[in-house]
Amino acid sequence: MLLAAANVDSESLEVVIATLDDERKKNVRETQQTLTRFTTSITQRGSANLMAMDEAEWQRLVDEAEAGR
Amino acid sequence: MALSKLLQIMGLLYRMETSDVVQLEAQILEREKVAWRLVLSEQAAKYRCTRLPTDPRKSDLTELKRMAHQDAVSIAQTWNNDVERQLQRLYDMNHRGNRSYYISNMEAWARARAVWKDAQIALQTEHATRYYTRLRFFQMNTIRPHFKLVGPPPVCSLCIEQFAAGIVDYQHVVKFATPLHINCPHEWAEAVVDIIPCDELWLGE
Repeated sequence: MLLAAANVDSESLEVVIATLDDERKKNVRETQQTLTRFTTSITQRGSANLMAMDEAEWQRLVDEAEAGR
Repeated sequence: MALSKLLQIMGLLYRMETSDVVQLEAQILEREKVAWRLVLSEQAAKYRCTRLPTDPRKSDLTELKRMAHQDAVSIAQTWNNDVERQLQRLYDMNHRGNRSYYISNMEAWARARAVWKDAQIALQTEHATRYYTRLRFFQMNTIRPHFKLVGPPPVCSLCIEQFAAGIVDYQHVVKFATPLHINCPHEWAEAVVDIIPCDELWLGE
């Protein structure tokens, strides 16, 4: 009975968020943006540090990994 | 198989450190405070009360900080594991990949991951904060101990079971914390809204 009335997608992430009332939706979206800004900064920091690595050192690590396979 | 030094070093570069967890925890706590205020305003409106809720203090602030810390630690652990797996995947696809190869692919991967993962965490954090705040509201206002699960018609066995439980008591609400599972759209609400004078309604310490 309950299943017959249910939307099978009602527990999918986007549907759950879309059906929240406006204030809750805004809070969830802002939290999502906060998290995304955070992980983006972690990724960019990693990339910047990787780019700053000495090329000779990088090649040595690649060669070493290849030799160890 | 042991990770090569190459993958170990890249893993260290892209991982979240303890200082990142501290920073993340502070940001999550601010979002929890927003959810706290929203829930108490909603509850106040249900009791026809227009008083503004107070910010979480004392034991409530301690509990929200604990929840934020737990979330931040869990987010960092999952991120670090996912980073390690993704770097291994990239290495397996191209053993001689240069740094641009790793940088562009790690950034694309992080963008794609954020679309669903951050939404999922945000929903989970909001829902867990709502549960805690509502529980505190029920507890502090000595609400008549009758509750029911509310939200869209259930589609999974966990939610169907709790809907079928009908009117339940406070201990049941404590035992079956919402969200009942990831992406659960349901929460406990009072089965009957008592009459409590606005000036007697607890809306934070």
